[in-house]
Amino acid sequence: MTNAGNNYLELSMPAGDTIKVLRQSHPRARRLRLTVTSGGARVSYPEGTHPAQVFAFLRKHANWLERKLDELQIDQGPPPLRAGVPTLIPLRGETTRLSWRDGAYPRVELDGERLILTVPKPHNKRALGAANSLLHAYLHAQIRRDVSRYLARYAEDLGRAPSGVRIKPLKSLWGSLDSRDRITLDLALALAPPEALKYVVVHELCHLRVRDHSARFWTLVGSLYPEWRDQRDWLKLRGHALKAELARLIGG
Amino acid sequence: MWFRNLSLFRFSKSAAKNLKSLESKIAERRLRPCGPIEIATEGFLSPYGRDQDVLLHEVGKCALITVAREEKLLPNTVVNEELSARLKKISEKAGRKIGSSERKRIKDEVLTDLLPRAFTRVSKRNAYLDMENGWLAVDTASRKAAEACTTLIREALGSFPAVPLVAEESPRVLMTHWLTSGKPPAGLALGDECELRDSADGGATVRCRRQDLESEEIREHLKSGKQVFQLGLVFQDRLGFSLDEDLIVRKLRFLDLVQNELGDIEGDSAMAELDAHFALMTLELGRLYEQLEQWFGLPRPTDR
Repeated sequence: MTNAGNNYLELSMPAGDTIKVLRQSHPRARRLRLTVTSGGARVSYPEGTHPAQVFAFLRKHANWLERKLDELQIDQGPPPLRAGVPTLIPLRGETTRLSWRDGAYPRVELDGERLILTVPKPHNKRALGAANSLLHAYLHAQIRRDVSRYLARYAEDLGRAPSGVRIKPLKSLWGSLDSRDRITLDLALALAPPEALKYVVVHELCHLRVRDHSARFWTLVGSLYPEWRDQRDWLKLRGHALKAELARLIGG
Repeated sequence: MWFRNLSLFRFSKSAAKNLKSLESKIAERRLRPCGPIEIATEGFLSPYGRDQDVLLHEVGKCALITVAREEKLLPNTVVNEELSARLKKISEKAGRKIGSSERKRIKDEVLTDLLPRAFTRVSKRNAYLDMENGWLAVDTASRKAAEACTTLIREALGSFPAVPLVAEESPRVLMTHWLTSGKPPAGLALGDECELRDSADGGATVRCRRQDLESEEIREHLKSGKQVFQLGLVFQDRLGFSLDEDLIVRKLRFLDLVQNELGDIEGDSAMAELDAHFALMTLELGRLYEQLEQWFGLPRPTDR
């Protein structure tokens, strides 16, 4: 194990390869914590923790880390989006072809099973920026459409309604409910099958009644959406790939 | 009485049925004056004025209510000044530093002394419920104020699942299309203001007023990929407003065609005037909601 630069630790594995782990001290951290997201592995620890302790912690969990990284296939993330180059993207759980066209006003439309991006030529960095924001708006619109239907149905069943719905890219969560009853949903859910989005919406709506993840909460979720378990498993398994995919589509 | 802004919510038929008891329920929550050491109170007032008894004004299936908040005006600077004067006095007298818990206690004392002497201010906000079609409209552009209003109704009724508008068609995409094509749907004309933004976080923003929206400058912005976040519109030459991507209606104006229809109001009491204005306003807005529902897809919550 070596100290690679200021922010990364390099963990050498028995097989000979190394894993880079981002290290971050945090003033409010109580214990050592190792997380793996589409952005890579990260270890956070309370300020003033001895480096040897961090190293020991990483070594202890090296196998887990390797397995998780394999599951997420972070090493082979999707290639970056390039203006003018057609590619395949997941959209509402289906693989969809993304193609490019030339036109005066940037626009995006779904033509059968093809998503067509129209951007003015030349297809350079500026066009890519326009494409990123178009895709952002398109995915936003997709989620809105589904959510408005789910809300109209489930808010009535539940007898409670959120005070608002926000949709934006979230780093690790799929959705959240704040203390003012506003729901926030991850934009990446537009790439997932509609059933997964439905599960997240129902999950957050149920928090309007039960604010924790107790057995009572899951019973409530089950009463509104009996197949929730499948969707939760799907998100756990495939979700990180979607978040990585979203990052390449909307930039950033 | 004319609403200047609209924050809209939708509710189901069964929720509308529960509203039958609205008048008696809100009577229990009439605004009461702040007690001597209370910072604020919230409740309902009569739409006719503070000294009137009736809390609900009904025309057909629409009910007008007024939510109000009475709060004490006690600026923080005044509290802090008094607090530091007292702390100084005590520390000089005792010759020691004042600890945080003692400081907190003294601050509470200051509040208790100053609150009974503070001025009070009442802020009122109108809202109306269209029980037939399931709309709640609050006269505000502020999300926080609109939420406060629904919370108050919810507290009065026990349960009131009013859903904020989440459109099936993204307003951003649809309004951008209206502007790029120069063809808003029938009955709608482009106004003279808009806000264009890059969708990315921290992206560029352009706001224009008194601007020809079909001019070359605007087209250039649209060509670079900016999208419409707020758009000035004129509905059937009768209503002028600015619509944003959360479907909040701002700067609502009832144009001459509507004002002319008002004609002479029989009797000149304030009540007759309010009745006439409210009847006309709900009629006009009812037409607008119908269209908003069609353009953007705003399903009414359903009972199962």
